[in-house]
Amino acid sequence: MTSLRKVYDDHPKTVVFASGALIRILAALVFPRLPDLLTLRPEISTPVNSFKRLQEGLFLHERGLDPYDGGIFHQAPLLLSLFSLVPNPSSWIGRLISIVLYTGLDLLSADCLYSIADSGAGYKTRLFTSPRSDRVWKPISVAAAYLFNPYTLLACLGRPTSVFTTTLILLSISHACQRQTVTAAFALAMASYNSFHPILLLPPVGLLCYDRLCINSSNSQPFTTNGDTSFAPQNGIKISTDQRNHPQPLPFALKFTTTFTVFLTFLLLLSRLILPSWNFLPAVYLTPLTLPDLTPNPGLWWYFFIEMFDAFRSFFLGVFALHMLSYSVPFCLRFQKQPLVAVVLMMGVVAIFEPYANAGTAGAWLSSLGLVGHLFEGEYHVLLISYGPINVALVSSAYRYTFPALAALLYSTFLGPAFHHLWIYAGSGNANFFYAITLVWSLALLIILTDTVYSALRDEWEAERPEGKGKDVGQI
Amino acid sequence: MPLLARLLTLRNSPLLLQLPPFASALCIVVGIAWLFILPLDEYSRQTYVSENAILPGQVHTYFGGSEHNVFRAYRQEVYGISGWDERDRLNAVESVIRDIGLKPARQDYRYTVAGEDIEGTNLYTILQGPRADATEAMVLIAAWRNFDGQVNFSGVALVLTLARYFKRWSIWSKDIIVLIPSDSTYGPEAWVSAYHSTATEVTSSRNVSELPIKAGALQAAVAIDYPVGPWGHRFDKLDILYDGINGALPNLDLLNTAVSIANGQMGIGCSLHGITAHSDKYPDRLKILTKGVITQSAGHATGPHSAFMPYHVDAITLKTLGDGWHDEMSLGRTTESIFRSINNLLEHLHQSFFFYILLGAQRFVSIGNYLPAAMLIAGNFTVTALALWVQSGRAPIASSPKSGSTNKQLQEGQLEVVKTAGAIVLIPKQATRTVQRQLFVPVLAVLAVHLLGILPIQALNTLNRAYLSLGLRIIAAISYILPAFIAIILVRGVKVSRQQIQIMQSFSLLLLGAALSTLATLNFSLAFVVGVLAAPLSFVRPLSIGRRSSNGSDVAIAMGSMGRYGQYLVEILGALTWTAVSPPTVLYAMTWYFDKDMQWMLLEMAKGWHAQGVYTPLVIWSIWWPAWILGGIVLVAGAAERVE
Repeated sequence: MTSLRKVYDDHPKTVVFASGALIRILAALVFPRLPDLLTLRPEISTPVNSFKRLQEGLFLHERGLDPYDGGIFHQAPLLLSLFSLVPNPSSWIGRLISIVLYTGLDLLSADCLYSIADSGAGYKTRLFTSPRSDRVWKPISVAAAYLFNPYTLLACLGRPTSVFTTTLILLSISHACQRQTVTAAFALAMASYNSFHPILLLPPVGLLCYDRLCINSSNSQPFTTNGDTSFAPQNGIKISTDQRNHPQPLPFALKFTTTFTVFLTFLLLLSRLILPSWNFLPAVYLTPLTLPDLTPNPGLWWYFFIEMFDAFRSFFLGVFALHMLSYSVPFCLRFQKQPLVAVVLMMGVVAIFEPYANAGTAGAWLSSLGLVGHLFEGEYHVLLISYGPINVALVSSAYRYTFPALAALLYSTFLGPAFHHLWIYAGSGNANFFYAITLVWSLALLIILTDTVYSALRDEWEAERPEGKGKDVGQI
Repeated sequence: MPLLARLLTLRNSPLLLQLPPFASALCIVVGIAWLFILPLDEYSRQTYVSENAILPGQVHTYFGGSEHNVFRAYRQEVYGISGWDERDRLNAVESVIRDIGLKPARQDYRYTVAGEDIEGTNLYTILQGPRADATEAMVLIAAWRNFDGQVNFSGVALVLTLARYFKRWSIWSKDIIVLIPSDSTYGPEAWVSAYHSTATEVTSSRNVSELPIKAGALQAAVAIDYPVGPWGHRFDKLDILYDGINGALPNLDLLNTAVSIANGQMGIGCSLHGITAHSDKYPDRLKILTKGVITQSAGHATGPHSAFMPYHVDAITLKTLGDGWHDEMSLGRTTESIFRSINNLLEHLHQSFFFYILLGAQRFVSIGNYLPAAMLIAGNFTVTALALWVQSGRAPIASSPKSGSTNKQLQEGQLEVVKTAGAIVLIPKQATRTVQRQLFVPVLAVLAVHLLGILPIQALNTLNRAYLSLGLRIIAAISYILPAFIAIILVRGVKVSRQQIQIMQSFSLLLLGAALSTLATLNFSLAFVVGVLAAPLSFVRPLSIGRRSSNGSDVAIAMGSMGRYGQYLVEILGALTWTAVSPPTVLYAMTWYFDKDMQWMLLEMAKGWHAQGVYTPLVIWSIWWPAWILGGIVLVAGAAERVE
């Protein structure tokens, strides 16, 4: 026990990463039928990320046919080039190699989370230092929350290609935190190339990158780093006086967007080289917008559009797409002081509202909430309510409904597959059963999302007004 | 604001914190009582046929006259070959099928479970419906041996006669498959799994060979169980068997069709679960309900029809019972009429209920009325889990100050001065301090114990039959030692706090509640039975025996030493309940109650797991058993603290 503890204390990162990798590979070895079973689960594999459909596309591609002809395959062309190098996953060795590849991706994601948490972008920004900065999660905890999250674990075994998107997004954020503008834009371009919706992260990631550049330029200034909350506003003033050194926002935005566009165009041209036609453009990037395939998934779109009258279809497709788009810029404006929070929230919006939602992306988002872990419950306040002659002490936390929301997630994780079974296989249920559970699932995720918004705003507000600490929302 | 204040006050009131155990108990009591009110007239309904196309009993049946002579000849034939060995017997039945003008086909199967081979051959033929396009089929089954192991002389003869008779009709718009498996459980299982298998080769995992000929999607299956020898025997009632594997049920319309044809058209009374004297009063209804819950929670096959349910094929078995005046021709005409009704179907049976509890052949309870029973019982675990979570967030339960008391101790150390907006108040520290929860060890413990559940499943399903009961004895012994062992490791080795034990129990109960409420949607009966058996786990708290009196509850302090002994008594009773209601003891109790051999029961369970796909062992050993072990850890952890 003590020697184990010693090994852990000496090399925490090695131990956590090695055990995360070990768990994935062992699960694939001990339960050899599990990966193929998970590959077929609608909760993990959707029309735009299914590993099985990727094999279909690969089969067509290797025989010189256009993989996008059949209307089955909707994934990025460069994945075809990548997976043609990997042995066929129908044999056990091929399956193991594919699991090893995805394990590598997960380790990379965890490493990105580690470096993001290490950079301190979550609690200390250009304009703001969190009063809760003493409660920040250790980088290793954030990485562990990703590696041992059951949803990412299942997604790794089910091998949807959205895992690539997750890794690339996290890579982009970590580069943004390290002020590497070009590579951050490149990784984000690759993520958007892979599955379209990460393009919505362009504004928040750009903001994050800009924020880190500003911090760097004012680093020469003496900087109080202690977590004493009463100095936070003064800190803010001190930094804001130093704006001459900051890069100009508009040229920066232009540069960031141009880099992103150039890389994206480059990737698309590269794809055209390996394919016979431009067919892949509508197949990959119009699918999330026009929703031709209504295979059930844990998202909110499929059932709605099954029920939809054809006349209204395009109108509501527009409304749903605009709804997602509408969060991107407002989050940046409101969370100007905490750009990482804006990025994490936008990841949540994409994970919950994307047309082909899946449990893997949602799980990755839940894990990345560890980056803003200092906002979580733990900070309790004494709260006084004067009501007539009685003074009542109350307890409240910045995070309010974590446990009920997680319990709802647990319930929907169990009930979802059960209801899907009743609907599809047993024939004794119907589509409404599964849809009801996807609603519960989305509701639980949304509660967590709104709680994050609340606690981030509360944190910001308390930094401005320390005297408001502990006041109930109703009083503010 | 005042309303809000009042609500918020309520949130922290000591009353609310003491409520959860009572709320849990209420859930359990109401859940159990719920089942007992279902047989009342107000909560159950008369069955009705809801699919328009079925038209049960609307056609005239022509099975009779000279067909009776054919039947008697076949019965004599079947009796004659019954003494032959397997191969000759199959050849003889095949030649009968050929004489009818149909093409026979065979399928061999072999399962090896616990060192025992189950083998046999399915013989079947497909009667191509003159108006059918080979997309739909119905199945007529007569197993060579019925579920009790008797040779099904008249059943097989009747099925062959019906095949000959059906062949002359031009009305069939679905193919008719006539299936004669060697036994009543594994033969149909092998056949139906091969029928739906997409693999072209032998299914290696189940040793089931592929089918040489197939038809379309199966719409329904009817099995006949009529084990009467060559001299005939008139029966009194028709017993309708309907439970599928894992408590799946056929569509209620199929059952209603059979009942309304037998009852209304042929005048044959119907019974369920072999209860022929059914007065349709409360006690008889309750008896049928209980029998249904027991067979469905066991989840094992109850006849040749059971294997069809997991493949979304509605199926029933008609079994003759008692001495009466109905002969084989009435059974034949009933079967004919049922097949005519199924033949009428335009789409798969879907109109009526798939989830129901039968109280008699013509009375049922629909899912909306009975599901709350199992959900309430599963919900009680969630209530306790939430309460424990909230409690674990509060300060250690050193001594709970009563609100409003002017205790001296309270005034000295327990109060905190808070200044806000000009007001200064004293409030108990305990209400304001919330401790950071340490989640790592509890999560790990819960996960590890659930993973351990794989071991008993593996052991009981792979051991040779000779060692099965020994295996269970060892598992029982380990189950009782394990909680104490883990508790001592946790308390002494890892130094877990009381709070972590609470969190561990909270997670365990949360998982149990979620798993059972999921199970209730798949197999209500099993979820209900396991929920009731696991119910004491909601009330398990660390033992306080021997600890200083200040650690006891307020009541105990108030009542002095007598109260303390009273509390010990309650705790000992609780611990005894926990000991008594464990998975191994319940298995032992079941063999004693049903007067069965332990080895026989374990072998049947292993067969069910391997050959039939019954998941009851999974529920017992990886949902209930881990929760029970974790409950034990919580219980012993209190005593382990004391010894330290």
